[in-house]
Amino acid sequence: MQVYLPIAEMSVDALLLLGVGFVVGWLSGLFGVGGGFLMTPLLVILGVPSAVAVSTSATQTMGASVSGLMAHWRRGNVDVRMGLTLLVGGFVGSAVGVQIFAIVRRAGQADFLVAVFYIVVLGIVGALMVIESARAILRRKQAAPRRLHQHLWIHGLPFKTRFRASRLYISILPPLFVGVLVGLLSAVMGVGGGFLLVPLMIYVLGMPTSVVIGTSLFQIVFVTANVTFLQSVATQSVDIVLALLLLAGSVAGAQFGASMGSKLRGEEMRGLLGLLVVAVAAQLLWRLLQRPDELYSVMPG
Amino acid sequence: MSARFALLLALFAGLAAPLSAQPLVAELGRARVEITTAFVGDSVLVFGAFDPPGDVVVVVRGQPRPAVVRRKVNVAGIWINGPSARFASLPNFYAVGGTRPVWEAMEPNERRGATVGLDTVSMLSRGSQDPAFRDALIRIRDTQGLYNGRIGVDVIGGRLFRAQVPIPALIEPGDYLIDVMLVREGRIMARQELALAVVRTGFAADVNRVARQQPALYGLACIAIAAFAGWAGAFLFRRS
Repeated sequence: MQVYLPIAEMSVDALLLLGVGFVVGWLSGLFGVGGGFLMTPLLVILGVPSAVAVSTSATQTMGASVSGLMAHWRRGNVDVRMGLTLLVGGFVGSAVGVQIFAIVRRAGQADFLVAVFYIVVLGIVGALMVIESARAILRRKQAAPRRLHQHLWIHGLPFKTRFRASRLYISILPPLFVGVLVGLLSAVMGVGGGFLLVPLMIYVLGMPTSVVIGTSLFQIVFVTANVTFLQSVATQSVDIVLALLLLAGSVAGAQFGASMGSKLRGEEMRGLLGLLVVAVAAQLLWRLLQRPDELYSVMPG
Repeated sequence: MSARFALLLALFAGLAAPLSAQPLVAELGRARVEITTAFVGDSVLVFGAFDPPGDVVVVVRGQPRPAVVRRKVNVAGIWINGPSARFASLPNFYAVGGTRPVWEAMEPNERRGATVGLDTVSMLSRGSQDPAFRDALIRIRDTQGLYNGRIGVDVIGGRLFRAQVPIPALIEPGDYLIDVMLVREGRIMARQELALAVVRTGFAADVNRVARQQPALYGLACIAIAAFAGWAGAFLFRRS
């Protein structure tokens, strides 16, 4: 069943979009991430223009994360003060990101910018995840007692604030910086940034795992909502029909993925997710290195 | 053949067949193509009658639009958009065809004067002057169905003609002009212009209009709709 996407201005098979949504939703439910980092490249491969893929993927990530946030909120797993701090940074980062994106799009390099961000960020994050989980699996037998969190140089920074729900008393600067970084990536890559935010919260900020998912969902929902709004105004590239079709598939898929994910061990899951992330980065790198079939492209002036 | 003689000939043709005072009568199957949410492309029938002998030539022209053609170049192993050519004004759609190929049916000067055939359309560009950009533009638009030099015009019973003009899914909404010509001995004897409107209708049209005219409102609506859909969907598909 073909459907005409009003903003992408193209005709796509609706069942294919539902299927893509389902698979991405299934993986995101399985690994507990938003799945935007898979959605944007898949849409680009389907022929959706990069700008529309990035903006719409942010919109769908927001929709897909809302119910998760509500569930964690009810259980009190959201550190609101930390979430708001991240969010302030996130708004700054996404506003800067949207402007960068608009400039680069006018210069005709939007596809390249998105690809480079994906390859670099996914490559690094994925590799770190694989290494970390491999170490954890090897270490499992000699279970050394771990400290609650390590004291790094960042804990010596000024403007210390108490984050009660996270049981932390740290400078406000690292969470702000993490927020800016994730907001920037959200705008340029169309991702919620969960795959980056969760490890940063655990390893850099030293937050306890119980509040990490809820707080990252808090940040993701509001940052992707902000990206949706800013992209609507700056590039007019949010396709609501596309977003709803993907969303319908992904919320269904996420439920199946989540029930399956509860049967996997944490380290193994992080390792698998890391491999998936590296595979996406490798595929995108391969596309950049290969000689394209059509060297020319036509864009409206 | 002089224009006067051609006029005389047309007059004779008119006298011989008083019921059809004009040597060429053309009409569209429908003057409106609607882009709905289910739009996958369409085709428009051009039909009519003419006084033989002669060839019927059909040209469909879109609106002039600026366009940029970019070429990917290899920089340190990576393929990246490199040099570009900016065309200030290109037809966003151009289709042509006749009962015979137009370069056979029409004299070169006549064809150039009436811009019949893609080679007669002016394509001036700034930036790179490499003719490869122009060729690539024509090639890509041809694959997209936006530039089409293969419209077939069929003659029925010697006096009636019909042609199908394919309208690709990528067509830009707007006004299109269909130019139908009767050609004898290389020259245009009679000409009729028909207007075709390509319009967005229904839901797709509303979405696109709101997104362009009220971007802030559209953005807020997208947030609300996606949030509600995500919440409702998770509620519906809950497996516990």
